[in-house]
Amino acid sequence: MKIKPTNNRGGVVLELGPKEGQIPGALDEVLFSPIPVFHLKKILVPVDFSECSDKALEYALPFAKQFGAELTLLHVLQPCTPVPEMCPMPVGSLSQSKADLEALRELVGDSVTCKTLVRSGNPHAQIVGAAKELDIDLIILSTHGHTGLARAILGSTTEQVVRHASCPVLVVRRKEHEFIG
Amino acid sequence: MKKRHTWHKVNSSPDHSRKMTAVLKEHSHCRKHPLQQCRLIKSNSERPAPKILVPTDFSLQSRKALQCASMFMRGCGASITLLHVVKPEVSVADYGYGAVLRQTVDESLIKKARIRLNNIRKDCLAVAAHSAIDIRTGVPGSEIVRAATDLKIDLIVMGCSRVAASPQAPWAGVAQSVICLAPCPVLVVPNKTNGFLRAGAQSENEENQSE
Repeated sequence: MKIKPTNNRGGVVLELGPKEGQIPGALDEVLFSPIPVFHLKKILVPVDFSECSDKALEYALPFAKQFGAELTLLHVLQPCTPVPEMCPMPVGSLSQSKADLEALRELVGDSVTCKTLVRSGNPHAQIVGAAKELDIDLIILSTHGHTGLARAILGSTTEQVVRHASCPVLVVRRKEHEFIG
Repeated sequence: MKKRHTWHKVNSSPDHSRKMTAVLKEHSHCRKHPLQQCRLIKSNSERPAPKILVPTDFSLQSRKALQCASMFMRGCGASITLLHVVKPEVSVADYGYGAVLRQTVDESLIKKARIRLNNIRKDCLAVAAHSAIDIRTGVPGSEIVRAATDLKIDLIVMGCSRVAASPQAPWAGVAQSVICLAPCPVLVVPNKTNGFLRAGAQSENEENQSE
């Protein structure tokens, strides 16, 4: 720490070293502390085998390659209750879902560590739960981009995941201005 | 072969999964598949640096978002634009032909925001290749989307509050409206995150202790 006089009478300049703590000054200096180092180790990509989720995988691959992260592909089988008196049943075949995820993982190749995961239940709850259990660092998912009445009726899994996720969420859409090449 | 139930999927054909599997197998031998060729754009002489927009309301959530954007800046050499939206004051006026809504903007708020944004840029974005600030007035969600369109932004990084905007419109948060209408990807950073930001901070502490 160095103390130097200034040109103004009675004023001093305090120079802090790199290992010394910051003196609380302006509010913005307190709020915006030094930038931590970037370590992205695990990425979760929810997949519903639609064209929109392909876009999420397009973004996930370069992220995983650049930062050496592990990729986890997650598919959620949404249950349905055809008759209210019956208990909910998962829609779709578990084996078919696993096979499709394995095909995706083969396409990803060996350049990136890729795992697959199939769960059944409420999509956004399962995605958020999987992110917590696996200690995911980043979720990349796509949105169908519904607005207005369609959004009110159909809802948005992305909206629920963004609101309840405990890690950053990268939302991509099928047609947009991109930053991957 | 049993048909796959896809009634719950939106905008996807019933046989999309099987078609995609067939396409994937067909291209599995091809090394130039689009998925395998994707890479993050890095700034070089041939291509301009990607542009990141960071909307900030000087809250803790936006602090996290700025930290995240700064990491992208380091990794990809991106340029960052800080954006603050000042909400106009809405009042009801009557000029003799009925009540009308009158919007006025407090210039002092704009001046204060400019000073704070410049301080943030000086303190946190000094190493950025290019950084800028932008102040707009209006509805935050709409102005953020408009700024992203005007400035041809490649990525929006913003914070998100877990609490909904209002009980009557739980989907009316700023982040939600930006996600719906943004022309580019949106990275939403929650306030209480256990993602790579915390991992990065822990590793930095370990490095300092080892020294």
